[in-house]
Amino acid sequence: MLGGRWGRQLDNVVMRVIDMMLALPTLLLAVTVAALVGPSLLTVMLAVGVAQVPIFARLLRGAMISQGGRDYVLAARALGVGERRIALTHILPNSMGPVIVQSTLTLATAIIDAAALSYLGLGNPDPSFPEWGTMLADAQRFLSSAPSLAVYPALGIIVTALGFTLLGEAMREALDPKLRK
Amino acid sequence: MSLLRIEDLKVHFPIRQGVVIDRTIGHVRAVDGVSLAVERGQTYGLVGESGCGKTTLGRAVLRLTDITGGAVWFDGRDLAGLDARSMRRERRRLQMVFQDPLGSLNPRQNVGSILMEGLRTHGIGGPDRGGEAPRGREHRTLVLHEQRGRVVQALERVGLSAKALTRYPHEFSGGQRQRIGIARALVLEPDLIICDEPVSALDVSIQAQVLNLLEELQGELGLTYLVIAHDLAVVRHVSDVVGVMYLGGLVEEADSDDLYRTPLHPYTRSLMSAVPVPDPEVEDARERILLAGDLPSPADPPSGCRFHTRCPWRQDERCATERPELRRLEGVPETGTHRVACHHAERILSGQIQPSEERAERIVHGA
Amino acid sequence: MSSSTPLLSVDELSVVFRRRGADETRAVDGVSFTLEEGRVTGLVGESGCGKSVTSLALMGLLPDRGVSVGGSAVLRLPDGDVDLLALSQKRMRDLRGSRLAMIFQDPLSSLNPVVPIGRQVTEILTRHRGLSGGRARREAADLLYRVGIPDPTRRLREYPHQLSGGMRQRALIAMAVACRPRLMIADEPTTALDVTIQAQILELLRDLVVEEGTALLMITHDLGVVAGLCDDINVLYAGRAVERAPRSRLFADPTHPYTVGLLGSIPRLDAPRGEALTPVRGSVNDNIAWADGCAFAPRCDHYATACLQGPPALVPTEDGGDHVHRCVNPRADAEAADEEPGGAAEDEEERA
Repeated sequence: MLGGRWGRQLDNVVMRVIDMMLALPTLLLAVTVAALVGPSLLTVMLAVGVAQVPIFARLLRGAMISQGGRDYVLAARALGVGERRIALTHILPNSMGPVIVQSTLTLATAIIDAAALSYLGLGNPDPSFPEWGTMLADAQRFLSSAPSLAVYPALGIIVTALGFTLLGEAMREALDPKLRK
Repeated sequence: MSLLRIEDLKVHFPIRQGVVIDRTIGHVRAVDGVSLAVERGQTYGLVGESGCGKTTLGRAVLRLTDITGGAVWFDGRDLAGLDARSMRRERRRLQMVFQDPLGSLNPRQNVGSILMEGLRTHGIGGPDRGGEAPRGREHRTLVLHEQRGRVVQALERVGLSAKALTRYPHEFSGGQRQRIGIARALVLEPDLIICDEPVSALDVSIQAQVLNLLEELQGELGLTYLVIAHDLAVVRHVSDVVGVMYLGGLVEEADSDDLYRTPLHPYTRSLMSAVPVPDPEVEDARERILLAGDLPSPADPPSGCRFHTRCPWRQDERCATERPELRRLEGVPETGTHRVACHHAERILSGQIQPSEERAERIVHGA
Repeated sequence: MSSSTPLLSVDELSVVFRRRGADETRAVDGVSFTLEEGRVTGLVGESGCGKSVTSLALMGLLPDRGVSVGGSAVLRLPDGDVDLLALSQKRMRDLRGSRLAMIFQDPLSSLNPVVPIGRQVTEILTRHRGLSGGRARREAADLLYRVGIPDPTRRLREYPHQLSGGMRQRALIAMAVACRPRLMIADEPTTALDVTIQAQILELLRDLVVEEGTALLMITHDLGVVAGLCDDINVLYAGRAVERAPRSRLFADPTHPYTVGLLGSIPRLDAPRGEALTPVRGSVNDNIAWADGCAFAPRCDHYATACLQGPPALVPTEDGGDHVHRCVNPRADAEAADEEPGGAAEDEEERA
């Protein structure tokens, strides 16, 4: 996706593909990938991952384009620094802020997406393999008699999602010298 | 020989339109045929209002923007013809100081790393300068030691100390940040520094500090400056030679004092009359030439003289049809090296042509 | 000076910002001045001196939370005096646009980008002068014409981005004068503009003051602009006025070291090349609190121990009369000439 920084033609082609991916519902995309490769844990992870790519690509591209026009990038170029080094050491680190925020938000939905795939039977087929999504799906049948069966996996998802959000916040602070004390 | 000689430089930006496939529908002529020469050890000041192409010209010299046509001779080599690699190497000798001191420093780099970057890029420092491959840890320590020495020296030259090395740009005041920007340029020991609006983002009392610093450095290191600014008073203060730009072209060029004493081009005259002077007596006594209207679009510049649409001295002959060349005055030897791009400069100077009241700005006031 | 009662008397205005977890900031710390009809009063200073906050406080445009405003600003109205700082939000809204008007630095962000210029002007006319439809449009076109916008009927249909910077500032001035305000506040109205355009706008403001008798409060960092436009000048530093004088006195005979420093920092177009600048050392961050002494003392070439013994008062200078300054150890001209220049960097460095 760094390609977005070089070559207008390449950028155009890549972004149109990304736009097409964005047009499809995330879950549908994930289902397609899962159906193509067959159900397994790896599939779930891959499927959910691929479905998130376009959002990150757009976000990172936008941030990099806006950072790319800043004076300090020009200053590095004026020093004679090569384009690849400028992209990696100047533009990329300064473009990561929104991506990190987005990724913490996405992790929560990714867990839920994975759970949904498992619910649809596209997850790991091994019933002895513990997975919150599968557990939640199984618990549905006993919701009235044993609500705790659903509550604990759900709590697990929530706590994990919250944890990742806090982690993201901490990472952003650690990476930004302005927020460091 | 001039250190920098620009010949008929053109920078045109394509205007693109289209949703999926871009089409070029025209060009913005940001710089449209400028020639000038900067002498070693001197300061050339380029002044003009927004949109005149002065910033683009500065960037084009460093090849930070693509050159459409013309040549940029730097110490005998044409930079416009260099490939990207050689140009990057050449940048060691041409440096730039930017307008926005905070924006031009990477917020995630500390001062040490900002200043080291150029040295690392060009592999400067260490005992062997012959370009042999570095050998071992001992060698690297030596290189690092020398690089650090150079960085500290540059910091001290701009009035900061080694304590600044581990700090980040946001921890400094505006004036200090601009000093860091200057140190970054100095570290590479360049011959020419292009200063693009070096003080316009700073407070008044800090501006003077930075201007004095630039002058001191020139005295100590024999630097050559190309100073680009919109403020004629600043440019006149620092420059040996001043060039005035309007809509992509140079309209007048003269020794700094000559330009102030006898501005020849109608645009320079109106620009000069508009610069405020902090002295009420001068302000009250001054003649003001208020220009009509706004700057025309550089995508569609007027025919003939670019300034004719706003010029109070405009004549019916030639102004709208023929673009004037930058030339010396005929029959006025005392104007020396003073050059102007105006068909009627002699007759304007002698007072044969008077400004037209109608074309000056009309300000009508109600009851 | 003039015996008429002032249109606006600002007395001991103070603005304190409080943010949770941070020390309170005294942005404006006891500023007093008066505005008179047909005169231009200047507030001059660098970033952080409190000049813009003063204007926002007078217009009632500061946020409610975390800000406390003290002092008074009494405006003379036909139906009695009012204190602008004590008015209700609603009264203040009625006054803004009708009696008071403000012009901001950035004309683009002060105009609504998705509404045509014409609607933005007629809206004011409808609201404050009760004009409707066709009459409002005719009046709007007339206003644009008066501020020097050619072809006003066409311009009325255009959006802000279609106008140049100078035209946008003219449109804003047209909106400001739409209701013939008695008092106008201009906060750096020409800073974003080119100097030839600045000259046009300053000429326009000067004419408004002379012909309409408006009182203008001009806020700027540019002493050149002040010299050409203002009748009375207040130099602000760190939230307080450090010197006040009619313009002829201030430029001919500045007494406060900060004013002297500012004037020495500006390259003058008419000065011979090579004439050295004498900058003020340090930066505006190098202050001490006014409560402990003169805030400018750490940057002053001329300070004595007396400067650090409590806050200095605003006292008449040797000229007497309406030339006052806040300095216990003013520099005489002869001494100023002996002062060695330079040393600008060192003190700034101490902070680094």
